[in-house]
Formats: sequence, structure tokens, C-alpha cells
Amino acid sequence: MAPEVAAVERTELLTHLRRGTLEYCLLATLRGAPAYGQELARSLGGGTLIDSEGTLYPLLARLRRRGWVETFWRDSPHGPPRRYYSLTLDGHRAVETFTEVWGPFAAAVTRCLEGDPR
Amino acid sequence: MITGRHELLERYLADLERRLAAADPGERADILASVREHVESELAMLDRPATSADVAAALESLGSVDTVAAAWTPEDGGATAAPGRAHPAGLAVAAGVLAALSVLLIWLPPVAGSLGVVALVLGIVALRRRDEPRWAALTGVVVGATTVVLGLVVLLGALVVFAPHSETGRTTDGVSVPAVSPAP
Repeated sequence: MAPEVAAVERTELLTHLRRGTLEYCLLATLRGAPAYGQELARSLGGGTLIDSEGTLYPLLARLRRRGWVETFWRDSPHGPPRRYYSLTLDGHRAVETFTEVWGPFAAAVTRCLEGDPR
Repeated sequence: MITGRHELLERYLADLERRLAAADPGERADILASVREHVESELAMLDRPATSADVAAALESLGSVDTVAAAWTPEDGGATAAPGRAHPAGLAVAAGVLAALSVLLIWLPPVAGSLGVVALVLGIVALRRRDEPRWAALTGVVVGATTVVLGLVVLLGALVVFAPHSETGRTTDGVSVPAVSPAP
């Protein structure tokens, strides 16, 4: 199959895998301390988890609406004040639950891929 | 400040707003505001007046409007997103087809009228969704509304003309029921 077809397949696969996992990566990133948009983009950047910074904002808006993150303003040394995102109690609980489910799930997938399901 | 800078950003935000038409208004406003803040604070970090090339670069790292909009999913998650997209595409077409059927069946006013109502409703729903073929939805709305009105007019006319005969119609119906029902 042509290499560009394989590339499209990879992109689609990544999109599917990110759906449902990336939001928890965002939450996990916020566990330590509140962060602003660009900080989050930088720590999740690299092309595997997000392919461009802007894709974070629809996710953050959704997490906020769900009550998992809340926002506040803090002055910035450069330019306008920044909107910071911080985890709520529900947000903390959501990451915990995800961590509990993800560990066995990821391990099972890896075992499958290595040819030893169970 | 260079006006071109604002233009690029405003155009990007306007495009994004259109692409997020299906989102909850509050969520949409939230996304648009944070994208704007992202770009503005990125430009403020330059510590010099931003040029339109700077704006273009900031927008580039945000990703295309399509990419950002694609990160938004309906509230119930990605699982329903795919069938959800396939289904509405048929909505406008269904409206158009029903409208056409209602025209063909206009000599049966109650049938044509009901089809018209359904075509009208489907057409309106389809029009409010961005990913629907507009011409089919519009056909559904316009033709559906016309056949509803025509159906009502014909129906009212028929009621006025045939009202005295409706009694006999009912008795023949009444007769046919016992004729079918005798059972051992």
C-alpha cells in the first residue's frame, strides 16, 4: 500500500486513541499545579498526544463544563493576564479512576500485541 | 498596532466559530476566548509590535481551524460521533424526497399533507445543521410547507363539499366490521 495511505491510517488511528485518553493526560498534567494554556500545550506537545496547540482548548472547555477543571486569572510578566486551569476535587477523582482502569488496560493491550493475551 | 494582525486572528476565530456551530453556546464562547487569549499572549511574549507574520506563525502552531474544531466532540463522546455524522447527512435528503412524494400524492390531501409536515420538520432540522446539503433541506422546507397548505385547503374544500355524505360513509364502515368478525 502507498506510504501516504499508511500515513493517513496512522493519523486516524492516533485520533481514535487520543479520544478518551487525552483529556485524562490533561488532568494528570494539572495534578501538581495549575497551568495556563501554553504551558499545557508545551508539556503535552511533541506530536504524539496533540498535533497542534489549538486542539487543547475544545478539550479544556469540555473539562471545565464537566466540572473537572476550573479557571482563574493570574498576571503574566509578559502581556495580558493568563487564564490558569486547576483541578477540582471531581477532576482529581476522575484521574484516579482513569489511572486504576488504564494500568490493567494498557498492560492487557501490550500482552495481546506481544502474542500472549490473558 | 498593525491592523492586519487583527484581521488574520479575527478571520480564524470567525471560521472556528462557524465550525463549532453544533457546540453548546457557552462551550463555544469558552473555546473561542481561550484560543484568542493563547494567540494574544503568544504575541505579547515577543516584546515588540507583532507583525502579521507573527500572527500567522502563532495561528500555525495552533493548528488549522479544521484541526481545532475536530478536537471538539459532542457531549456524549466520540462513540456516537461517527454515526451521528452519517445520520444527519440523510436528513436533508429525506426531507427533499418526502417533499417530492407529497407533491406526487397531492391528490390524496391527508397523505400529502402529513408527508409535507414531516418534510417541513426534517428540512428545518437539517437547515440548522451545518453539514447538511442546503438545497435538499430547503426543498423539503419550501415544498413541504406548500403541500401542507395545499393539503389543508383541499381537505377543507372536501369537508365542505362532502360533509353531508360522510354519514353514509360511516354506516358502510359499520356494516363491514361485523361482516368480517363472525367467529365460531
